[in-house]
Order: sequence, then C-alpha cells, then structure tokens
Amino acid sequence: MKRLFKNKKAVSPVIATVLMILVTMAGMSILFGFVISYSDSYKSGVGSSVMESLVIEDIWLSPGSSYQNDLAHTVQLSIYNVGKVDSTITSAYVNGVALSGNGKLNLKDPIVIGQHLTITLTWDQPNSPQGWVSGQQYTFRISTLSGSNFDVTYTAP
Amino acid sequence: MIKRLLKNKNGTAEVIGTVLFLVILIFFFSNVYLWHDAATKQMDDLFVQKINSPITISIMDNSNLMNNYYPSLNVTNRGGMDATLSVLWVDVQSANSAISYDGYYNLTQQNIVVSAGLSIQHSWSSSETFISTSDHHSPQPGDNVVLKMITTVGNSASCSYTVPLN
Repeated sequence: MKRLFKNKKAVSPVIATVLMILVTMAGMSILFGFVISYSDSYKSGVGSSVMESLVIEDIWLSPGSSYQNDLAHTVQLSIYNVGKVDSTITSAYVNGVALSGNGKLNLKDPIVIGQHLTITLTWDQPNSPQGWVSGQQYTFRISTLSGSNFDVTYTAP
Repeated sequence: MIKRLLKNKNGTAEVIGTVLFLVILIFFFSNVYLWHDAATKQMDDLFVQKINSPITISIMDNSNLMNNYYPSLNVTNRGGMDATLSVLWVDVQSANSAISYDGYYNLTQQNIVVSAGLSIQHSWSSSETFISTSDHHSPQPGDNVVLKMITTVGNSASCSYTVPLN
C-alpha cells in the first residue's frame, strides 16, 4: 500500500484527466445555463406570440365635447383574450395612426386568458370636427408586447 | 475491404467527438423546438375549433318589437363543433338625443352551449347584469340597437334592429 502511494508514475495523466473533466463540466454547465435562460426568455417573450389570440369585440367612438373645449375624440376598444397566454397591449392604431392613452389606461396591465378589457384611447383627428366620417371604414390594430398584431375593420356609425 | 476499414482505428475519436457534439447540440435545442411544437399544436386546435363553430344571430320576434325592447335572439351554430357563448354586446345609438351607450352581458358564468348545427333561443333583458362604461337606460323608440354575440373562441355574429316608434 505504501509502495502504491510512493509510486509517482502516471500521476500527471490522472491530474490531466481530472482537470479536463472539470473544465468540460464547467464549460457545459455555463453552456447549459445559457441555453436554458435563452429558451426561457424566448418562451416568455417573442415565442409566446405564437399562443396569443386577441379579439376586438366592440368599438365605441365618442366625439369630443365642445364644453370646456375638450375636443379630444375617444375610442373605446373592448378586447377579449381567447389565446393561451396573458397578453399585454403596448399600442393601438387606427388606419396606421397611433392612438394615445388618455390617463385612464394602463397599457402595461396584461389581459388574463379568457378575460375582457376595455381601454379608452384618444383619437387626434383635427381635420374632422366629429373625429370620424360616418359610414367610412376604419382599420383598428392593437399590438402586443410579444409583437403580435390584431386587426379589425369597423364602419363608423 | 470492409474488414480492413473496420480494423482501422484512425479518426475514431473525431467521429465520436462530432457525434457527441451533435447529440449535445440537439439536446439543447430540442427544448425550444418541442415547446414551439406544442404551442403551435395548441393554437392549431384553437383555430380548428374557431373555424368549425361559426355562429349567426337573428331577432326572433320581429312582430313583437313594439312592446318588447328586449327581443329574444335566435343563436345558430353553423359549424361542426359546439360553441360556448361568452358575451352579448349591446350598442344603442340614440335617434333623438345624444344618449347613446354600449355595454355587455357576460354569459360565461351561464355556460350556454350551442350544439353543432343547432339553434337556441336566448333571452336578454334589463334584469340581467348589464356592464356599461357609461350611463344607460332601456332602448327608446327610434333607437338603433346593434347586438353582437361573441363565443369563447372569439367568433362573433351581429344583428341590429330599430325600436319602432309608438
């Protein structure tokens, strides 16, 4: 037994092998961690857009009131989440023009699966006193944090 | 020839190394691929359900509109799969004054299922909980009422009527 411990032959190959295994393990752990975090962020980020499905179920247009010079026209969009993940709306457009929040809206709140959400937005359209032209078709679009777009065409009353 | 090829050990390590590298690579990326595949399948199922459960709605008792501002609805499922009703939207455009309003009845709790290819009668009235974002009232004579039914998979159908003048 004593002779075994005193024998220095093949010590360096053993150390080399152990070191190689350690380095390989460390490298693989780092790679594994990176891949897992990448796939997790993909699943909860851009990847989740695959599972998003929103329906604009109702649109309600309100003209601005001349009283108190509040001429901002408002658009009420009622949205229903029929998808498989919660969705966060980041912006809304009408015919490509962005609608802005009027203080009542917190676009950062997600719409939970199966839930309805009504958001009120301001439609700045200075060329038309009413804000919209009766009988004209408008395309409303909502965009989500994951990058999905959902369109609906609506004829103004 | 084959015997000599099998006995020749040159390059074996490279082959094993490459195979192991590919196996590890596949193991890592199969995670994302399998998740994406499952997600796509789930959404495909949803879209199949959506395509196969379109609905239409119509007013049942046109003749009775004079006395009944809340006419019964005939909801027909024109597809091959059952449809579950989610929401009934009511948009009232006032004819005489500026008192227009919109709101909805949430039907999810009632679990109203329209079987494939069948029709049901749905009654709605002011006694049910009407969720409105503004003040509302009963539809008045002359008002144009737009009804829009939404199902749980996002299909919609609409119809409208004008409350007759007395």
